[in-house]
Amino acid sequence: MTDASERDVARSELRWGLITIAAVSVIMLAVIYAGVVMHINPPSNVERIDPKGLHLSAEFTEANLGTKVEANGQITARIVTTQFAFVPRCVILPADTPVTLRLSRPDVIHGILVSGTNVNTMVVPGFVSQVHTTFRKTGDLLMPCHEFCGLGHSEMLATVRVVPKSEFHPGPDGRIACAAK
Amino acid sequence: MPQDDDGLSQDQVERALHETPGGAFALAGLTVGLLIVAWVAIYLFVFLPRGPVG
Amino acid sequence: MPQNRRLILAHLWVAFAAFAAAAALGVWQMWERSPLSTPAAVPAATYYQSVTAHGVSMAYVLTTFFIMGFGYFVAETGLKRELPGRTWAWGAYFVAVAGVLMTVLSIASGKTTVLYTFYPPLTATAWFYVGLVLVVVASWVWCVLMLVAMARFKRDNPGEPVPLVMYATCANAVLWLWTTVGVAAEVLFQILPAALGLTQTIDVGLSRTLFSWTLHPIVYFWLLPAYTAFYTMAPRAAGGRLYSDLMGRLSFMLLIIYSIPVGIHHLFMDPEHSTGFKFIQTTLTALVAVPTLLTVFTIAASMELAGRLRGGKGLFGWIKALPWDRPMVLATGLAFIMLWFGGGGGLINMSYGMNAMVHNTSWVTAHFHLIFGGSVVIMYFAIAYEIWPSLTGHAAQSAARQRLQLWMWTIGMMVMSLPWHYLGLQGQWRRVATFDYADPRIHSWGPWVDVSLVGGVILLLSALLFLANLRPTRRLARIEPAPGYAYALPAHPGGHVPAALNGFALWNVLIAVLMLVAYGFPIMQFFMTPSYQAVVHRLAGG
Repeated sequence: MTDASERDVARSELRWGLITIAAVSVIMLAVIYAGVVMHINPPSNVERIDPKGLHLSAEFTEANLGTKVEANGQITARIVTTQFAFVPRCVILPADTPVTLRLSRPDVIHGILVSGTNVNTMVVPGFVSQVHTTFRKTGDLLMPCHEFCGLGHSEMLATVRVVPKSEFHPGPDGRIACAAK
Repeated sequence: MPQDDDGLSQDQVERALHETPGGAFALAGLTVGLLIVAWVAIYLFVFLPRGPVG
Repeated sequence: MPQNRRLILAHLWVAFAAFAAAAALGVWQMWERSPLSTPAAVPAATYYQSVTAHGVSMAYVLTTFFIMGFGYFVAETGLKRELPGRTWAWGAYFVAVAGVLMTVLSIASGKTTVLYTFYPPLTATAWFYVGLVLVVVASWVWCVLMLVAMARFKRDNPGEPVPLVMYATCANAVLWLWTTVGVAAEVLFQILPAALGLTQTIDVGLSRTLFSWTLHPIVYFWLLPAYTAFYTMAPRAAGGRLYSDLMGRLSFMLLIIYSIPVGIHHLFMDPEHSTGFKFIQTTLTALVAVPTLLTVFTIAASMELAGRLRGGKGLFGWIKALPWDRPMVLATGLAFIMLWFGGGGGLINMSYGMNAMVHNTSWVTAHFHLIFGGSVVIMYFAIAYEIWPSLTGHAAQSAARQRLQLWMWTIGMMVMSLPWHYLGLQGQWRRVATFDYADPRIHSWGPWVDVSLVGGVILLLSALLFLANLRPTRRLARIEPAPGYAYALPAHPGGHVPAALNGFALWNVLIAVLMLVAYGFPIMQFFMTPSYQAVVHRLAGG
């Protein structure tokens, strides 16, 4: 009878609906696990900074850019992204150690990724972008600007040189720069 | 209206509905299942090994 | 033959002309950034001019004009009534065409290389934005006409459910009205004042957030007509009926309520929003996957019904029994294959931390070319083939030629986009005019870029074949088409449709609540805490 048939249709759709919710839940649980247990989250440190005075700010003035080991042992690489270059063009960081990247820019929107890693962030005028990570492999990793920032976008490239911990020797002021290779 | 008549009788439709949606469950179940498997594979073998970020 | 056939054809020709031009530009762009040498080296400005034109044509012109034209077709043939407000419709058409000309000419002038996402502080000439505003305003007129047509049908047919094809089309109109608020606010209050020289700084966090409001649901605006064809055209083309009309209605409502409050998943990597709101919107995005998965089942069941009516037996025998020689059936099958890949990629994009693996890489480019250029646009082709005879009064081009075009489109799309997925994971980033293939880290990408280019060429040939298939030729017989269009019937006709699935009141309330939760604070924060503004970078000089 048509009524029973209609009920069968509704029941089958409901059953499929439950399968759908189960499938989506698998994804959500894995996402939550990655976030809470493996510490993989979208970089979301909301921190404002005035783009117009960037070079005058204490933190992003040119002398303070690049990799520095702070007094408390934290390793931070500070980079400024401009049209169309990274300052500095190369930063050196140790593998298998928690490190922090902090980026800002005075002009337009940029963005970075470090190839082969989960490091990825937009760099938006008015904000500092902060990324915590631990590099698992060594090498000269590509760090391009990945958001269209104008006509020179294609050339805007930097390198993240990841070295084994044993080869990471900051100077007495805690700073270390990429040596010319 | 002539447009509405698709030439099928309700009896025909009911008969065809007997085995439906077994095939749809099979096809949709298989494809969506494979999709979740593929997602989990990329999650485990590409994403997690690339390290933490936050 | 629809009374409004001239109105409909006028819209569709603009859509398809823009599409063909953009397809040619796309191939040229792929050639430029491949390791293969090109006859003349062009400056980056020309490359980005092309990218801007390609994106604007495909994302704003092809889509809006196709959707408006198809909507006018549905309003007349679905409701079996004349379209109300025909003068308004024509007025809107000319406003939209004027807008397209304004935007295209401004792109040609070279002062608008901001790409179709036009992120400030990069700012183009005001003409670029005004042109897009005109197109959007025209589309709002379309939205109102669709809703008026539906309201009048309900008034004149009390107790009768609005046919699913029109309900879905009006759902799209409701969706579009909500969607455009974000970009309209961004353009009217932030970008145009900057472009006109009235302001010298701009709050970039706010502009990105307002744009993100639009950026996700706009793709559902593009998608809903394809889904409309899945539910109301494909089952009949296959010789069957729609498995469940009610589930169709529910799926369209779930699509509209969950596609709107999720734009921040385009901002996962942005520093102006916290993990809290990013996670809320991840959850809502996971919910918008649900109606697509429901659609997969309902359409599979409808096809199964059709296959069994044709004698198909067993768990999968019905698949072979389907009339794959019919272009609408073939297109539906090919669309679902591409949906597996494109939707799968989307599930990865939405997965919160996983987005870091792919953001702004070629993976993203692959995803939206496959899901939009593939699954959605192939259905636009199929819809055009279906309705063309009744619009033009000519018999259709041979089904074999239509099928060839559809196969070429699918193969081209897969060959082009699958390598991009791989390259994205290798770190290849987006919107690049030239790669330095001498760099050892980039060198291995070259061959895959070449493979992708081959896919692009196949797509261009398919696009040209599509146009050729539509062009009325003397050799095609003149026909007297049957009045109207025969949409698919539900498996159980005459069923009761609850009021909630025959109107939009409940769903509008849900959308408002979800938007308040998902976007309330993310937008208000820019007004509560003073943000630092960025200096406007005008490309037009001054």
